Order: sequence, then C-alpha cells, then structure tokens
Amino acid sequence: MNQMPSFDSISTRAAAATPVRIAARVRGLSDTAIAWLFITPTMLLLLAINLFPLIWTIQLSFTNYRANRPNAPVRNVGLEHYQTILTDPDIWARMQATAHFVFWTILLQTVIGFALAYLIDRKFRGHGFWTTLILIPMMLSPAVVGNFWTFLYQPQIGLFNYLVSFVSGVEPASFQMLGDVSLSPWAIIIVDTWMWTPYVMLICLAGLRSIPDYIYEAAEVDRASNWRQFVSITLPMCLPFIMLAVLFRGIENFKMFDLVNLLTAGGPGSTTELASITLKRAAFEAWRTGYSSAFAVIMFVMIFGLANIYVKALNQVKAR
Amino acid sequence: MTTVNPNSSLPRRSRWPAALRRRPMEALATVLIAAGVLMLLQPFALVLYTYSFATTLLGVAMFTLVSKFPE
Amino acid sequence: MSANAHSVVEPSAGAKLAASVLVILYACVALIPLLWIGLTSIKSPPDSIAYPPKVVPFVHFTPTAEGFCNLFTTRSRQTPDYIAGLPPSTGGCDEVARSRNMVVVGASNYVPRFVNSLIIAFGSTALSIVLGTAAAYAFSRFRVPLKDDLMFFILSTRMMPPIAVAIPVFLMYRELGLSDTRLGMILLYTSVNVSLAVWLLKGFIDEIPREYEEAAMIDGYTRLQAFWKVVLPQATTGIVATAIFCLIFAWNEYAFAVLLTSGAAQTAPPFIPIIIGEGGQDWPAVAAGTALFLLPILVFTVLLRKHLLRGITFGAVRK
Repeated sequence: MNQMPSFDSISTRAAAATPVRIAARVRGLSDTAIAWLFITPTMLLLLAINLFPLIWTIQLSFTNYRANRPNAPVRNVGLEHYQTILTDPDIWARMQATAHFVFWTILLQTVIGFALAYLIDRKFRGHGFWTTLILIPMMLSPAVVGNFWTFLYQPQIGLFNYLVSFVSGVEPASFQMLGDVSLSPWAIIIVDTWMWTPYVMLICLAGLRSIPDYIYEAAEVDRASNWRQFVSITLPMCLPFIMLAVLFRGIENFKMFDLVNLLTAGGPGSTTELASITLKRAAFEAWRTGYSSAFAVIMFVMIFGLANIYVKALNQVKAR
Repeated sequence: MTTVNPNSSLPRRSRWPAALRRRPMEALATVLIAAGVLMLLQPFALVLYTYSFATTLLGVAMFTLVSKFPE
Repeated sequence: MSANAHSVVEPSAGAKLAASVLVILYACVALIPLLWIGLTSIKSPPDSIAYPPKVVPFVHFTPTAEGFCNLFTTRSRQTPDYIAGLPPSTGGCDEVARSRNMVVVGASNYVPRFVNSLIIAFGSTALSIVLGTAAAYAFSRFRVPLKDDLMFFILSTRMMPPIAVAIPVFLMYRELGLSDTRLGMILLYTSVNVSLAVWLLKGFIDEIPREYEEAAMIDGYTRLQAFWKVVLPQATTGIVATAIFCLIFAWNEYAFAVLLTSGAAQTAPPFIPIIIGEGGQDWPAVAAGTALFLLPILVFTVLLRKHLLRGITFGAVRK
C-alpha cells in the first residue's frame, strides 16, 4: 500500500528492446512521411485561421485602417496607437476594472473551490453524485446563462433580490445589482464565481487525491496535529494544482467577454467595461481597426506570456 | 547553482556561460512576464502601466529564446 | 476532528457528516438559478414576474406551455372582434395566443438558430477530431522536429482572446465571402477546438502501449494499417470524450458567433438574449429557449464526469 509497484516496468523494457526501425522492414510510407502527412492539415488550418490573422493584426496595428471604410487611403502611423493606448488614463481605468474582476473572482473561486474540494475529499456517502451536480454550472454556455442572470438580478421581480431581501430585510426594489455603479462590479463577480468555482474545485480535488496516504500516516506517527498536517502537507502538496487553476482562471477572466457582455455590456457607464469589451467597442462599434489591432496585440502578448507560464505549470503537475 | 555539473549532458568543452543556462534565465523571463501583467493591472502609477507592455514583451521574447538554451 | 482509532486517512463520522451537510448546502444554492430557468419556462408571463416569486407548480401557479409557444412562434395583437371572426382555433399554441388577444402569424427563428448550432457544433467537432487524432498520433509516436514548440503554438491559439482574433478573421472572411456562413463558423470553431483535441488525444494515445502496433507491424501491417486497426479502436473512449468536449465548446461559444454571424449562420447563444416579447423581454420564452439549449449539456456532463478533469487541464491531470 505504501509503495506503488510499477506494473509497466516489464513492458517498458520490452519496448526498449524492440528494434526502433521496425517500420523500415515493412511496406508502406516511411514514418517521417506519415508524421508530416498527419500533422500538416492541422498546422495549415492553424496557420490560415490563427497565425495569418495574427500577423495581419500586427501589421494593421501600425496603420490607421478602418474596416468600415475599406477604400479610404491607409496611412502608416508607426507606434502611435501603442503610445496612445499605453498613456491613456481611460484605458488604464478599464484595465483596473479588469483587475478588480480578475482579483476578486480568483480569490473567491480559490477559497470556495478549495474548501469544497477539501470537504468532498472527506468521502462522505454520495459525494460522487453531489460533485457531479456541483460541476454543472461550469459546463453551460456563459452567454445563455448570463442572459438569464439579468432576470434574476431584476430589482423588483428578480429572484436574487428577493432572496437577499428575505435574508437581510432590505427592500428588494431598493437596490439594482446591474444598474448601480457600486454594485455592478460585484454582480459580475458573483455570476463568474457561481459559474467557475466548480472548475477550481475539480482541480483542487485532483491535487488532494494525488497526496499519498503514507505521508499522512507518517505525520500521524510523528503526532503532528491536524492543523499542522494541513499546513505542512495538504497545502504545499496542492499548491501546483492551485497555481494551475489560478493561472487558467486568470487568463480566462483577463479576456472575459461573453458573460459580462450579456450581464452589463460594460455598464452602467463604463464601470464594468473589461478589456475585451473596450476592444469590442473600438473594433466593432467605432470601427477603429488600426487602433483596436494595437490593443489586440497588447492583449495577445500578455496572454501569450501567461500561457508560457501556464504550460510550465502544466508540466509541473504532469510530473506528479 | 552556478557551477557546471560535470555529469550533465552538456559536452565537457561547452563554452556556454553557466549564468545563461535555461533554468535561471527561464525563471527571470517568468518574473518579467508576471511583472508586466501586474504593471498593466495595477492602480498605482500610470508610468508603470505605460511600460507594462514592453516588460511583458521582453519577458516573452526571452522565454522563447532561452527555451532553446541547454539545460 | 478527533484522533481516529482505525485509520488516520479515513475521516471520522462526524467530519463526514459536517462535510456532507456543507457540500449539499452549496450544491442546492448553486442549482437555484438552473431550477429557476426550468420553473420560469412553464410559467405564464404574469406569473414569471409576480412578487413574491411563485415557486411550487400547481400550488402557486398553474404550469402552462405559453413560454414554449412564444418561443417557437411569432404573434400579432388583434382586436377581440377580429379573433371572434376567425375560424375555430387549431388548438395548442393557437389557443394560448388567442387567450391573450393574439394570433399566431408564423414560426420564430429559434428552430433555424438551433439547427445552425447543431450543424456548426457537429461539423466542427467532426473536423477537429479527424485532424486532431492524426496530429496527436504523430506527436505521440514520431520524432517531430520542434515538437514542444509546435505543441505550445497549438495550445496558445486556444488561449487567445476571441475578440482580438475576431478582428482579422472578420476582415479575412469578408474578403473570402465566408461572413455569416456555416462553413466559416465551422472552420473557425475547428481551429479553436483542434488545439484541445490534439492535446487531449495525445494524452490518450500516449497511454496505448506501442507494443500493440509493433506486434501488428511484425504481423505484416503497414504503419497506417496499424494506426487504423489497432490504435484507433484502442483510443475510442478518448476520442469520444474529446469529441464531447469539442461539442460543448462549439455549442456554448458566443463571442465569435455574435461578431461574425447575424442571420443565415447565427447560432442559438446570440439569438436567445434577443427574444423579445411585447414590452420587454418575454422571460418564459427566454427560459424555455435556455432550458432546451442547456438540456443536451446536462446529459453530456453526466456522461463526461470521469474525463472532465482531463478535459479542463488539456490532458495534464489524468485521474
């Protein structure tokens, strides 16, 4: 029980002993040809629909092109758009709105998600059933569910306001989750947390289950208290998994669009106008294509950087 | 760890400077990327926001480059 | 928690009870919005906005199919005299509409949008699986130059913000005439899904021992035959799980759909929020559309539960 016997050691050795160039002895395409034949279609699709547009975006970001006036003369403006965006206090304020959203959603989801995972890991009767139920919100369409949440948030008739007034005694028509400047940032945080806490929970659960029992048994022999076991075994062993969840939720919420676009569309005013919504307004409402391309490149680079760290974290978890 | 491990897969005569090996450089690139992202999102100074993009871009370039360096 | 007599790993009965109470409490609260979607879909419009909320069917309100009728039809308001002069109603939704002084004038756009969602989701899933399985096999079994970089490139395409990607894709599709076409959406969703498919399927194929193919090749199979007759059957579970993940993504996607489609190829997610009744949103109709749209996902979630973890971590966490 304490040590996992390695079942695959014999087969691994057998594999190592098998001649590598076995394919060369049989008919058919060479392995190299098959490798390229199998990879090329995928790469071509990604080149056409991801890489080519990306390069085009970079090129457009140095021009004043406008998609609604395709025939207007296009002028090269150099780094002007980048300069404008990166010194604009308004855009900086949008980034802070994004930061507020990212910070609080991650904090709440991590705390609640880890707590839930810890509780589920007590392995009470029927925990599998309840886990599946809890996971449902994260599988649903954020746009469609977000749209329904606007109904729950209605001041007089909404269920959310009714339940809050039921618990706290506040008049249900006295507050507007989506219409109030101070409440709307929290309205989107609540829905995102409702939707994505299960995601963090699921990954934390995997972390908890990856801790071998014998470590706890050894701690028990050393008479370590429960709290001490939690702090010095459970938390550190789960940390790579928590990091993975935090990074992924961070990337996802940094580029958040669907849920918030349907809940508030950036309003009231621009209190919940996150980076993606600013970008959409510049690109598809103001049609400042060059300017929004520069904005897009800035977001690309940030996410590409985070994705690098994410893959590093993935490999760390994979090694476990 | 700054000394070259004689048992590593590097050829003995490799002139690759120890400080430029993959692990420390990758850590530095990660710090740059994270710093850039924090600078973009922080609410304290506009000047940090202005240079956030350059910082992360540098980090990404470095990360891509050092992934080709020997361990 | 008290010290445990038998096994230190097994939590005490008290701890289990406390944990189960808290978890069940969370689950019940978290499911209220979904329950409310179901309940609202069988209410009449006045019941749906009543205060205090009407909760229990048959006690607080009488269930009705009005939401579903309004979802599937378009209606126009008429005078009672006009309606009295009409031939007797054909029953069903006709009857419901007339009770509100309206007549059914045609079908709504919900069914075409739903069909678009189906075609685009299944089309892009099929394409992603075909491309993804091939690429995953190659990445799993052969020495590919720059393998790590290619795999990272493939993954990074999925991480990109959809709005930022949509800007050049919008221009490109306008040039190619792919704007608002199902083919355009299928290609776009495939490009997003194929990254997940490659990463997930590589994990699944990595788990199939190489000796199976090698034995087959010693028996005279070519590499392609071995792939087709040995690896693919072994990878069926993985392929099905991956396909469901791709389906769910394409089914739920909103950002590309709302920016790049407006009519002929519009899917359900951008359509459901714009279901409008007289004087604002017709919430029972919206709830009915939402419920029908979410139902397949509920089924898939239950089917997928063993592979969920793998799917959301790109295959890194296997258990």
